[in-house]
Amino acid sequence: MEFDNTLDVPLPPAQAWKVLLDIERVARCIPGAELTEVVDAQTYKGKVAVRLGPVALTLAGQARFENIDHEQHKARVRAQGADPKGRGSSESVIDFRLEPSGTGTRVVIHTDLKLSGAIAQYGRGAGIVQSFASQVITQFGESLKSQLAQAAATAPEQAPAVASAPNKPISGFTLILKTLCSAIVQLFRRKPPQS
Amino acid sequence: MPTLPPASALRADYVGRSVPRLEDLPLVTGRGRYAAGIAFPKQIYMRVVRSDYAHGRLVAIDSSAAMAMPGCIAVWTAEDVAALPPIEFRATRVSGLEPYRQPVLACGRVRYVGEPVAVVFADDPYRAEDAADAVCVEIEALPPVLAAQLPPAEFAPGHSTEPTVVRKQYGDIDAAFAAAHAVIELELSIGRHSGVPLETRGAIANYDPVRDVLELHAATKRPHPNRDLLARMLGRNPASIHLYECHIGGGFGVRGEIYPEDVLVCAAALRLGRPVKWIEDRRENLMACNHSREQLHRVRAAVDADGRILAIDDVFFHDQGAYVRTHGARVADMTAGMLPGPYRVPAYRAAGHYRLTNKTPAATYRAPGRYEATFVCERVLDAIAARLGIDRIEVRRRNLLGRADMPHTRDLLVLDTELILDSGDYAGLLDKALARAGWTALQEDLRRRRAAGETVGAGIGVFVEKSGLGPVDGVRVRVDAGGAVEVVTGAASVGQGMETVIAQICADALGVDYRRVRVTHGRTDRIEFGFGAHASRVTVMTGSATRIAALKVREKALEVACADFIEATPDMLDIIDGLIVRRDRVDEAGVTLADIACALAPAAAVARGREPELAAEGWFHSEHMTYPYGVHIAVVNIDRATGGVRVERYLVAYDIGRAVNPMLVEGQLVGGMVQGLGGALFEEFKYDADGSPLSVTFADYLLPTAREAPPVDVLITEDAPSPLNPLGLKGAGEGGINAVGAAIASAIDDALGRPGVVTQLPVTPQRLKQLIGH
Repeated sequence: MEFDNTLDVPLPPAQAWKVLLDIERVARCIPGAELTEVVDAQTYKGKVAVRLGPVALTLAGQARFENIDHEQHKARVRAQGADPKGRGSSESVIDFRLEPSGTGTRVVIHTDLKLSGAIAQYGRGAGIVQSFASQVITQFGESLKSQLAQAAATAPEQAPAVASAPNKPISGFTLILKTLCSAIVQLFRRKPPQS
Repeated sequence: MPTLPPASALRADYVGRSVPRLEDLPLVTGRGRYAAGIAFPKQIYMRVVRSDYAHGRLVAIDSSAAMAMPGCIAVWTAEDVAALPPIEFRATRVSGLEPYRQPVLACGRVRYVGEPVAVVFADDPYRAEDAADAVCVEIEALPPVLAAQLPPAEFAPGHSTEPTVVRKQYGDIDAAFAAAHAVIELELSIGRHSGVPLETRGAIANYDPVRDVLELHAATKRPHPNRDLLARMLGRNPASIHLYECHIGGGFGVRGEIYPEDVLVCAAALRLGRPVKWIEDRRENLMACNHSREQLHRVRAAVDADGRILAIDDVFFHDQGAYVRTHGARVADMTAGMLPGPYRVPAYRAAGHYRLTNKTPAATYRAPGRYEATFVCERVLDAIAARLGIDRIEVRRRNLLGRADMPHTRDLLVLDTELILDSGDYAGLLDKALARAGWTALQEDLRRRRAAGETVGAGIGVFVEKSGLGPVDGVRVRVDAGGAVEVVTGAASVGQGMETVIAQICADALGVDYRRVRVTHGRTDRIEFGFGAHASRVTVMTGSATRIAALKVREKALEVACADFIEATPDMLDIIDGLIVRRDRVDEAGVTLADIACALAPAAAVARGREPELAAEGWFHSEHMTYPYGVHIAVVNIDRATGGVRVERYLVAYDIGRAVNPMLVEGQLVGGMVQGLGGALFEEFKYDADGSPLSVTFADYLLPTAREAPPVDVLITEDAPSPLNPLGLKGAGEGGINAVGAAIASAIDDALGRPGVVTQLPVTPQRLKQLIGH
């Protein structure tokens, strides 16, 4: 499935670009994620804990930057992960680019995601997974913002030693509530069908 | 000799009356006993680890982490149950199906999401679930087969995914098509859906080493045949296994077949020496319990200039899912056998491609093969009407078999029996149904509403059901020393009200109040033989056997009464409410059945050379099934903006031969109708391109609820009693669901003014929107 998200970062594009390529820093802001190994400058290994309804699993895998365009502030990340217990796996290609915006930078993200195994077993999967992804991205944005605020308060070039928000897996009741809310909002936002 | 009032051995004090159900008290007072409520001391719990892949090579299973979890007692994989054979089929054996049977745990390959690959046993259900989560299953994915109409692939080395083609044929097809005025060709499909009981499956096994008896509790549907099957699989004598029924939250054909889990709890109780309990959760239920119905038909019909059918030629693809389960090729067989329905079809040919895919295995669901076949047959009738410009009702009238055609033999075998339509007045019921629905005025009303901008229409489905599958059934009837009557039968209750119906038949034959009759069923320790509850057979087969046994008891009671108590001959006596009286002196004090039972106590009876006990066994034999028939009429209202279909009214007209309890017949018909609405409009097991099931919650698998249920009018007729049994009985279980897909499709066509537009069930809002959009 493919879906689009945006994220606002309160920094000018050039600075935001630097921050977003700092994977160790970024990983700390992704709910449920843990960076386990830096293979090289483009390749990272890590784990993401996902809980969707009755299905809980941890996807372990690697993400690799492809086509980093420092001029245009565009990059493609190819990520794949699998649950070590064989419950499911994911493959995704994420394209993101930065655009200047009123408050700083808008990050425009396009995701092409393929899920298999237990997490793929939702008939309305597209909707649920999209809501899930946008929750993850919103939470990521908030973490990043508060981290940046802290960083600005200390030294401008220095990342804080400890992540400001604990990166617990996004899960359980909160996610269900948020997903539901966003599904309901989506429902009413849709244009009436033309017959 | 005084003239006597007529003998009342066949009187109908209860048969034909809507008396209250005997089984309701525990159910409506919260005292029902369901699988989850059954418990034994020291019981342990089983949890199944299921494949998350539709097709793959099973590389390794690591259970070490699970074994280290608190409370975990054992983890089994295929190696641990290597001695257990795959689950055999009990019905519609076709040679060549054996390699396609399901192993109790996946061995080497997984073939559907939900297939059991391992089981975990623990001292608590939650710990069992946690331990099951810790089992690591490594599967190397293989490409799945997800459509039956695609060319067959490989199931296993040397075995293709098409083990058999079900073929049925009579008449000269080629000549009929050569002579045809017109040929209708349709491609039609029915979605994958199934019976989804409120109560999920469950099984509790308990082994008693003192008696060397293995008990399986929460058995349903067919306790005796399942006992025999388990005995063969486990290598035990049938008499050392007992199955016990409990209350059941819905059967519909899917509950009570032997599944891997039933075998596993039994094997575990024997091996681990503790009672083993397994209760399925909903997600498991939707991916592991039998699916049904998925077929694609390419049907051709040859007709003459008047719209009379000359021949039907149907090629269909039956999606069996990953394995052949207990029913063998039954659904495909019944589809092919029943497709000509109530019509005169001089030449017929069906080829059912029975194919394995990487989805949940399929088997029977209420009206198996007939829901599908009636949809196809009735779409053909509507198409003939549209092609030749004949009214939909008129085209049916021209093709229906007449009263004079009965009994009508079709040169076909269905369920290994010759297809002989035993009795029926199809056109007569059609007339009654149309009158009841006010068809003519309805058409006028719908025209007016359509002119005013509404999208409304009416549809019809005419069908023949089958019921009373033989060949035999037997019961024991016994009167105890207190005068109470017990009928012991190997039939089962699936909630249909069989206790009441059997008691009514027994009460009339014997001459007692039906509330004095206790019907004991679903227990292999009380009777050695039994055939369960399936194929709409209990009222017909078990009911007929009950009548025979009760009449024998009556005869014996009257003989003893004459010999010991009353100066009369048996033909001068009657039994009224358990009291034996002279028919010419009913006010005189009589002798009770309890007195007779005491006189027949073993000591007294044997001393006088009598067979002890006021009891008898009754057997009923029938080579052929009975064929009830019906007419469904639906009125639908379509929301063009959303594609939603609202069923405004619905009529089920059904000729049952003889209704033992009209209230229960009505209940069966209404329940079946609402259930059928699911497959017509809402329910569908969907899969993604990898074979992952997308309908494993009730948010995705949409059952009809009270909101979707229309007011259902029921017309029960008794115009064509079956000549095959003395009471004229036919079955009630499946007539409510049979033609729902057909009638709804016809009504949607009518509402849209586009005959033949519906070619696929269910007609979901998405599909209907697409149809409207064109």
